[in-house]
Amino acid sequence: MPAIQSPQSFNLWLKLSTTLCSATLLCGCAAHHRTTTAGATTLPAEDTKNAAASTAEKNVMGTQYFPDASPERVVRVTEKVFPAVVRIDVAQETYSEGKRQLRRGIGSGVIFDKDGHILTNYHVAGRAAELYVTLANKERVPAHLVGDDHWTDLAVIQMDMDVLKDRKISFNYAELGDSKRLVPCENVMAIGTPFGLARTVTLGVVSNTDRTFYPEQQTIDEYETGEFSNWIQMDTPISPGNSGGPLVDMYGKVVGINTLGIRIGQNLNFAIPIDTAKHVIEEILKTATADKKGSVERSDLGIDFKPLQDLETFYNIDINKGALINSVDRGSPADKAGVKTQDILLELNDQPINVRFPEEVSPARKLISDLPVGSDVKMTVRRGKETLHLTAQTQKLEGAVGEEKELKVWGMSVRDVTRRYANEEQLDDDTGVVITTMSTGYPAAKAELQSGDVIRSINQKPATDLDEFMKLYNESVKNKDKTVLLEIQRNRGRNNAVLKVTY
Amino acid sequence: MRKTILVSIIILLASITSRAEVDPAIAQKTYDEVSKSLVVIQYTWESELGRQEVNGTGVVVSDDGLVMSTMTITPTSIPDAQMKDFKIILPDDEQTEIEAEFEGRDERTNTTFVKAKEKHEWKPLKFVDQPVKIGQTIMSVGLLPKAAGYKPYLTEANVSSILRGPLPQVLVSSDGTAGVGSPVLNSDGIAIGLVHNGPGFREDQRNPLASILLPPRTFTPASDFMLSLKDPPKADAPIKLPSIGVSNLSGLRKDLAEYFGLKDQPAVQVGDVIPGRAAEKAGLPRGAIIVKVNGKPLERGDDPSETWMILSRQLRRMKVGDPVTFSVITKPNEPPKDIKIVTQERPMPPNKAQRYFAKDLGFGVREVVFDDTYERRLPADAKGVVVTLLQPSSAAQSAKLEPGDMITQINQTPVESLKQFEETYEAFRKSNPKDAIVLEVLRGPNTQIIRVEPPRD
Repeated sequence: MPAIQSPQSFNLWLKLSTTLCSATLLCGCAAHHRTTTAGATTLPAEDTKNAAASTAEKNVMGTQYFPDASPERVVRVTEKVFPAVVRIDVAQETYSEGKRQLRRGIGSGVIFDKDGHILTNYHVAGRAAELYVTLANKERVPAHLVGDDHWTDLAVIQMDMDVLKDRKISFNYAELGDSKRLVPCENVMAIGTPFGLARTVTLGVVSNTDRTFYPEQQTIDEYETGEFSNWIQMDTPISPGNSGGPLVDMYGKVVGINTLGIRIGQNLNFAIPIDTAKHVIEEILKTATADKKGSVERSDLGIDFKPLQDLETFYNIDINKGALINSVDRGSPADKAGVKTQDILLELNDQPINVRFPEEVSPARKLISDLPVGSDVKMTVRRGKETLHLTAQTQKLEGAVGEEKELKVWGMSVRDVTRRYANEEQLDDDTGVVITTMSTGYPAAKAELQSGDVIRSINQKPATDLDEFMKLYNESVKNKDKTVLLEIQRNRGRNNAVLKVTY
Repeated sequence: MRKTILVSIIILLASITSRAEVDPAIAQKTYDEVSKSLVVIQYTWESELGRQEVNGTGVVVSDDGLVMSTMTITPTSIPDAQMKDFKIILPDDEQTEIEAEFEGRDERTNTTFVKAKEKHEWKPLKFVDQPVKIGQTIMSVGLLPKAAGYKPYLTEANVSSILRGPLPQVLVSSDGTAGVGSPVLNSDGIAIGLVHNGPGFREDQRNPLASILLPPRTFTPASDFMLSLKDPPKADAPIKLPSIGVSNLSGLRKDLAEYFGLKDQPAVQVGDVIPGRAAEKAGLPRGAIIVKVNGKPLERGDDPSETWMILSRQLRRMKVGDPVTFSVITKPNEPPKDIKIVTQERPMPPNKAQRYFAKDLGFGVREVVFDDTYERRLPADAKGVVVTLLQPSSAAQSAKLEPGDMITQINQTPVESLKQFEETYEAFRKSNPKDAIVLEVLRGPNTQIIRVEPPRD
C-alpha cells in the first residue's frame, strides 16, 4: 500500500516547497523565467463555449464526448484560467511547546467570484492567521480566512477588497464546472504555483473519477479528512505548492481542487471534485460573519459501514441492497436507537442505501451528514430474519480535535474534549480539556503533567468545556493564585496535581 | 568464535580481579564453595509459532534440589503452559542434565523456582538477612555463558548506595556483579543477596557476553526474598496473590502533599476503585489519599512516584483474606479516616489464561481475563476471546485481524467461552472448509467485522 501524502506530508510539502523555492532561486534556475501574460484579461470564454458546443457529440450511451486538447484549446483554456489562479502565502496557527505558533507555507488557490473569494485546501489555508495572495499580475495583496472545513480539506479565503480598490488592482475569476460529468481519459489541466513557481500548468487525463482510499483514514494535523467524498485521480503531475490549485477541463472550467499525490507512485494525483467544493463554498459563505469563521454543519449518527462485497451470502441478503454496520459508537444516536453492529441498514428515511463496494462508503456517509442536525431519522434495519424500524435523532458531527488555546502562565496548550475524542480515548465523558503541549520549566511541566492528561477541574470547580476552563484559568491568573489544584484524568484514573505558579 | 569469546572473557576478568580487596584465600574458598550451589536452569519455550531454548543461572537453596532464580528468566509475558521440558544443568565437565519441574514464579519477590526430579547430592547455599553497609566489599559468583562451558566466575565490588524503590536495590561500584540470578556474598563469603536486574535471556541470546561486557550494578538484599525461601511456590500450590481492587495509584509529589497538609508524609492517591471488588465494598472512595497502612506511615521511596509501587508490593506480600486498614483523607487537613479492606484473590492474569491456536487460519486466542474488560471499560462479566498472535502471512493476518482484538461473535454466534469458541470454530471449519469465517471484534472503542477467508489449496 503506497503511503498517501497525508497527514505530515501535507506539512512536509508546504515546508519543503519553501526551502526548494529559495534553493531554486539561489541556483538561478528561475532567472529570466517569463511568466505568461498575466493580467492580460481578454477572456475567450464565449469562444470556448462555442468550441465546446461544436464538439459536444454524444455516444450511444448518452455520455458526452469531451473535447480534445488541441493546441488552440489548451492555449485558450490557459489564457482563461491563469489570471484567476493565485499563489497563497500563509501562516497557520499551530500549538507546540505550550505556545501558539505560526507555521509558514505556500499553496495555490483559485478566485471564483467577483468578490475576490478564493477556494483552496484546508491544509493550505485552514486555521490561517495571516494570508497573502499573489495575483497573476504579480501584485501581492493581503487576504483573510472566510471559513474552512477539514472534513473535505477545503478553505475559502477572500482578498482584502479595499486594498485592491485603493491600489486599483484588477483580477479575473474562474468558472466552477461540473465534476459529475467527467469521464476517465478526459483531458484536464492542473494549474498552480508548485514550490512557489509562478503559475505552472500540467496537462494530463482523468485516471479515475471515483477513487477511494477506504479503509485508510486520513488526517491533516490530526484533523480527520476525506470521509465524505471520493477523489478524482489524474495523471497531471502536481508537486508541493500545487495544493489548492484548480484542476480544469477543456471548457476552461474548474472541475477539481488539486490536493495530493502519491510520491512513490508515478503520477498518481488526486483532486477534490468541484461538486463537493460547491456545497462547501455555499455553506461557508452562508454561515460566515465578520467575527466568526464560516463552517459546514453536518449530522452524525455514530455509525460506520463496511462494504458488503462477498458478505451477502453470509447475511443471506440480496446484492446491492443495504449497508453493513461495522461499528456503533457508544452513547451515539444510533446506539440509543438500538442499532447494533452487523445490522444491515436498508433504508434511511425511506431512501434505499447501498454499500457494496469501498467506493460507496463515502456517499453513504454523506447521506447521513446531509441530514438536518437534530432531526429524527427513520432507519429500516435488517437483523437476522427480522426487519426493524428504528428512529434515531441526528446530532451535530464533531471531529476528534477540539478548539485549542494556549495558557501562557501555566506553560501549556489545551484542547476541548470533544465527544469523538472522549469516545476514541474511552474517557469517562467529554468533560474537560486535554493537554496537548507543554513548555519546559513552566508550572505544568514542573508538576509532571503529561500531554493527553484531561483536566476536569480547577481548584475544585468543574471545567466542563474549554470556555469554562478558560474562565477559571483567567480568574486564577487574575487572582495570582500561587497554588492551583487540578483534577486530572489519566487512563482510567482520577488524580490531583498542584501547579506552583509564579507571576 | 568460542576461542575469541574465551580470550575476551579472560581479558575482562583479569581487569576486574586485579582490584581485589578480599583476601585471595577467602575469595578462592568462596569461589569453590558457591560454585557447587550454582546451576543452569534450562527450559523450552514452545509458543504457537516455534520453539526457543531458554537458559539462566540459578542457585540451589535446599537439600532436595530446589533452585531459585529471578523472574527475568521466566517473564510473566510467557504463558505458563508454554514453558516446557525444564532441566537443571550442572556446570561440571560433563554438563550433567537433570530432569526438573517448574514450581512457579513468586511475584511477591520477583523470583522463580525450579525443582529437580532426580536425586543428587545437592549443596544448597544459605542466604542470610544481613544489613548492607556503604563501602563494604561484596563478591558475586556467576556462570559464564554456554559457549564458555558455564564456567563459574567471581567478581568483587563495593556497595555505593542503598536504593529505596519497589524492588529494594543495592547499587555497587562500577566493577559490578556477576549475571542475573547470581548470589552476592559479603567479604566473609556469606550469601546476602541476589542479582535481579541485568541482561535477561533475550539479551544473552543476542550477545552471550552481555552480562560480562556490561556487568549488572545492583543486587537485591536477602531481606527482600527470605519470604520466598521460607514459603516457596509449589507446582501444585502456586502463590495466591491478594488484591483489593484499586488501580491507577499515584504517589503524591511534594507540592500536592503540602496542599493536602501532608508535609513530610509519604502518601498515595487512589485513581480508580474497581466496581464490585473489595475496596469499593469497604467504601474506599475514588480519589482518596492513603496516608497510613495498618496504622503505620507509608514507606518512602527515593522518588515520590515510587511510593505507590512500594505500597502495592507491600500489599502483594499479604495473604489472601488478610485484612488491611488504610487511613485515608479526601480533603486538605482532614483527620484521617480508617477503612478496613479484606483482601481478595487477584483476578487471573493473562499469562495463566487458557489458550487456543486456530492453526489453519493462523491466529491464537485466549480466554478473557479481568485486565481485558477493565481496559475496555466493559462489564467484568463481558464474554469473548482475545487475539494473542497472528501467524505471519496467514489468512487471519491478511483479513486484518489484530493482536488485542476481542472476538465477541463468530459467524453471528456470541462467544461464551474459549471452549465454546474452539468448538464452534472447529465444527464450522470441518463442515464448511471453504467458507469464510465472519468475526465481530472489539478494537479500541469500536467494533469491526472481520471476514477471514480460508486459503485455497
